[in-house]
Amino acid sequence: MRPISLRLHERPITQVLFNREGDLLFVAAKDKLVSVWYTANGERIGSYLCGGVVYSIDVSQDSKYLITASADAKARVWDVQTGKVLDVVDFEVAARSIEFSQGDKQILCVSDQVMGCQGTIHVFNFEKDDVRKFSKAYILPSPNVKILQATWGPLNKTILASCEDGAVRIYDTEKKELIKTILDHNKTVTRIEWTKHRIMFMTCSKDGTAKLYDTKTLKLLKTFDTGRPINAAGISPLKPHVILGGGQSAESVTTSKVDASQFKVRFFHVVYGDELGGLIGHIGPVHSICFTPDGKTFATGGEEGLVQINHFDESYFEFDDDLIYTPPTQH
Amino acid sequence: MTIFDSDEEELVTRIEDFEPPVQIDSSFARYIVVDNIPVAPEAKHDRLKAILLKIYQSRGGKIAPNGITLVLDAQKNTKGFAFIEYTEKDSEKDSEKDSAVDSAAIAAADAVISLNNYPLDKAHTLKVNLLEDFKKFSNFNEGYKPPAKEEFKPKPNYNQWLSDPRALKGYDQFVTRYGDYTDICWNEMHLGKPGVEKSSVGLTSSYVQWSNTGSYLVTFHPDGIALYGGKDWVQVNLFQHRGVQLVDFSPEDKYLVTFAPVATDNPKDPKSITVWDVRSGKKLRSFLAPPKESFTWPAFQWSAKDKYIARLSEEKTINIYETPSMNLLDNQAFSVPNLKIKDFSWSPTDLSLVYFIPAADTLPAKITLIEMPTKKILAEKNIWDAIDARFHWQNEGAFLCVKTDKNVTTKKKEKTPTTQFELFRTQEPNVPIESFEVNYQIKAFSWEPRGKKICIIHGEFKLNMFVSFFEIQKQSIKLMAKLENRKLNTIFWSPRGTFLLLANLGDTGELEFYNTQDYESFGTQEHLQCTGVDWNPSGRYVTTYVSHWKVQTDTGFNIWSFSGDLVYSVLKDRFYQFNWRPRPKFMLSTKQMNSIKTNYKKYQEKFDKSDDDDNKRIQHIEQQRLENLMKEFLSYLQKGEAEYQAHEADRKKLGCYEDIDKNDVYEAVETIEELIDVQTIVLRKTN
Repeated sequence: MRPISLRLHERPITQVLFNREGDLLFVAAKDKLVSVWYTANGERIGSYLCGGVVYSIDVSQDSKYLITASADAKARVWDVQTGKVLDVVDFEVAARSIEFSQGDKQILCVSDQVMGCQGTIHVFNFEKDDVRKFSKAYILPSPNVKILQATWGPLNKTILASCEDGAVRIYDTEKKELIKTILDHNKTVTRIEWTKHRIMFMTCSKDGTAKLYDTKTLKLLKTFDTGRPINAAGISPLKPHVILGGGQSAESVTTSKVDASQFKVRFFHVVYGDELGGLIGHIGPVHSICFTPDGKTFATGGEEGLVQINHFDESYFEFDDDLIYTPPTQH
Repeated sequence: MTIFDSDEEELVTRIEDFEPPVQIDSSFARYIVVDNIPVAPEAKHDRLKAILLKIYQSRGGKIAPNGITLVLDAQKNTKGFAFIEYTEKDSEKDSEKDSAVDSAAIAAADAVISLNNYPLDKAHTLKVNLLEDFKKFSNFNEGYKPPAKEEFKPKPNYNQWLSDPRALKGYDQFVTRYGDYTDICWNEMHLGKPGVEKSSVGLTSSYVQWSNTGSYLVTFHPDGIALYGGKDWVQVNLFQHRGVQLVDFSPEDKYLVTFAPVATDNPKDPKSITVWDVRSGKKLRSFLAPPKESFTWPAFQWSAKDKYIARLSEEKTINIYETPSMNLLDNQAFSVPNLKIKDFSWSPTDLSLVYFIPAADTLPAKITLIEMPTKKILAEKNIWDAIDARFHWQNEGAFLCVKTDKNVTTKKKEKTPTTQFELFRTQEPNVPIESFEVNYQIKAFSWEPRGKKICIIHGEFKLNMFVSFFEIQKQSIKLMAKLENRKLNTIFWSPRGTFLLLANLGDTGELEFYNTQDYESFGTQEHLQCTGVDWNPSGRYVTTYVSHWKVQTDTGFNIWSFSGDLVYSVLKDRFYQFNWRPRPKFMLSTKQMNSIKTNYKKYQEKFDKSDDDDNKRIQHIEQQRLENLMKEFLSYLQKGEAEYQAHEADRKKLGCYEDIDKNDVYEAVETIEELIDVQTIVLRKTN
């Protein structure tokens, strides 16, 4: 497996994201730039320049609209094809996380917990076909801690927020209130990653563990302990595999010697919990991992600004049984 | 009358307001009765009173004026007993009355405890009792009641773990601490990960420690320490010692010493260092700690067989205490007249100790090996100019190596500085002594356990050290091998000898696995920032770890085979501690061990078969476990998927696209023009 290295960004990558078809890769970075690439060969198509560090992006399911949340306290909606800004929303503080709802009719955006402002989840309506502008829908009550990411639950009925105090908070979007707090991590939850069809979700934490939950029952199914802070997870929709990435942040690494194995992305068996292998390539902590929806390719983005696209070899697909989502009907 | 009546009422209440009612002191707590005083005629009464006054004020209590009442018979002779009344001291008279009463009563009680059985002369031994005790004794129940029979509670077998099937197969236990967890694990190598036996949260407030024979696990708490052991890890004993920080067990785990830092300790009731009996949990004796500058741990050195405990006193003598009485051996400190002992060390197996007296003006330094408790000198060596010495016993007590440091006199430029060693063959008749020298400064020195080899790391620069191996032969000490240009600072011998791990601890963590059978290196490895090494008691595995106490990144441990192959590696956030559980001393003699070694083939077959069976069984169980896990996971996955499919209508309402493979099938029509073939047909013109 030969990775395709995408070298454009000069500052840490914050998010890598495939569109629904998996043929386009969007990359957000701290150098105020969002870039878009062809997945197949790593050819750059274009880029979108924001006014500040881009923390989070999302793309609509028809790949027409790109939304960005950035540190200049703005959320923007872009036309993917022309690169024009269609609308901008201002916040008092930096916008941390942004996501389209399923069906693209609403957008959630998280504002930061700084300068006396409380970390808040804002929800906007988005009329994609005619107005193509944000309009305020509602605000969820703040938990009064920093929220790193918020994401829509199945059928947009809930919103899950990963918080700095190690909790995952679940909000009901109808009643617009907190309905459940899961407190299993003892350090910041860095990311919530869904499996295909949002059947399960995985929480990554700075405490060195990642935990897999059943969405319906919220039962903790599995804990993966890596001993190093985890920033990102990628869950294969095809195989029972999960990729975990992270590493000590630059300021806490005191060794003079750079150990590349420290920042490798690691493959785990999602059921057995065994470590299957690792991939060395990054020389800084990995901040984001994303699988294509077909599970045949994944991308990683790191602190050093490098993005890698990995197309799996044929041998990988023979390695473990595919996940069986629907059991064969018995006759 | 009626008017008076009311007035009187008021008057009474008013008086009570400003003066408490007089209370008659009906207590006789201040009085003592002294029996067995000599029978004396009236003329000698004053002298007797003076003597009693002197005796009963000697503990600091003050006797009231005319407080001694001699009881007389008709002839005015004393009847043989007297009453003595104590009073408050002058200094306390002005202070609170209540406390003054206490001080007199305390003086009386103190007299009963400390002045009872005072030998006045051969015929008279004075007996003291509290006057109040009359009440107690007159009501004494004379009927004998047999004491209730205490039910016998068997203590758990602390060596139970050794008969666990896993221990019998040669696996060992270890304890790790990370975060708030303390895990006791089995090291089952075929699993490739530790098998957790017991995991607990917040077991200890600082760290944990195994006892010397592995019977107990010590946990630390603000109020003292607790020992855990037995099959179910029950709490065996509690030792109350506030602020305890350090624990040291005797070699055979009969006693333990605890230390807690106390800012100003009371010499009459010291609280710094306490010696305990492990089984009964009783305190044997407490000691003052030496001042901070000269404090070392262990504060006391244990002799072999747990017989004596000793430490160097501030007068540079050795205080040797006998167990379990904790009295000074021969009631005096061991000292050498006019000379000051700088250091000493017990033999690990024999009741003998070696001490060092540094060189003084005109006298040479002295290293002396003496037998205890006879104090017979076994060997002695004089060395000129030596100012310090370090003792290194071989762990079977057969050899003693003493490193001596000399006062460096830089008169002329020396070629290379050397360090001198004295070797005592302590178990040979007359204890022969030899000397040998090693170049440069010594960084580390270590004996092969149960062996005759010495490993020394020496050199001038941190990055360029030498490692030398010596072997003690019949007549000489022979340099067997020397490694050069090594970046190593610590030696860890396998507890079974022959193999050793050389490490660069607290730095970059280079490791070198070495075999002294053929004097060759197995190879080098690295554990970045490694802070500690611990050999498995069997000598088959060795652990290197990075502790959060010293390094904050990538904490965890690696387990290596003795030859340097990584068996597995565990990374844990906030990992603190890793310790193998020690096994009790070998029951087999060296001869028996050797016979097992020669007949190894015979046993091997049996063990290989048992291992094979176990592995098959375990693999089967593991297979089953994995299958079950997969089944459970798939059940959740398929339930979720079924629900997802059921909500198709809801998704349509939201405007969601379905999976790519269903709705994205589109037909592309492309017109392709292609030249398929060119045929040349020559039409012949027919004329």
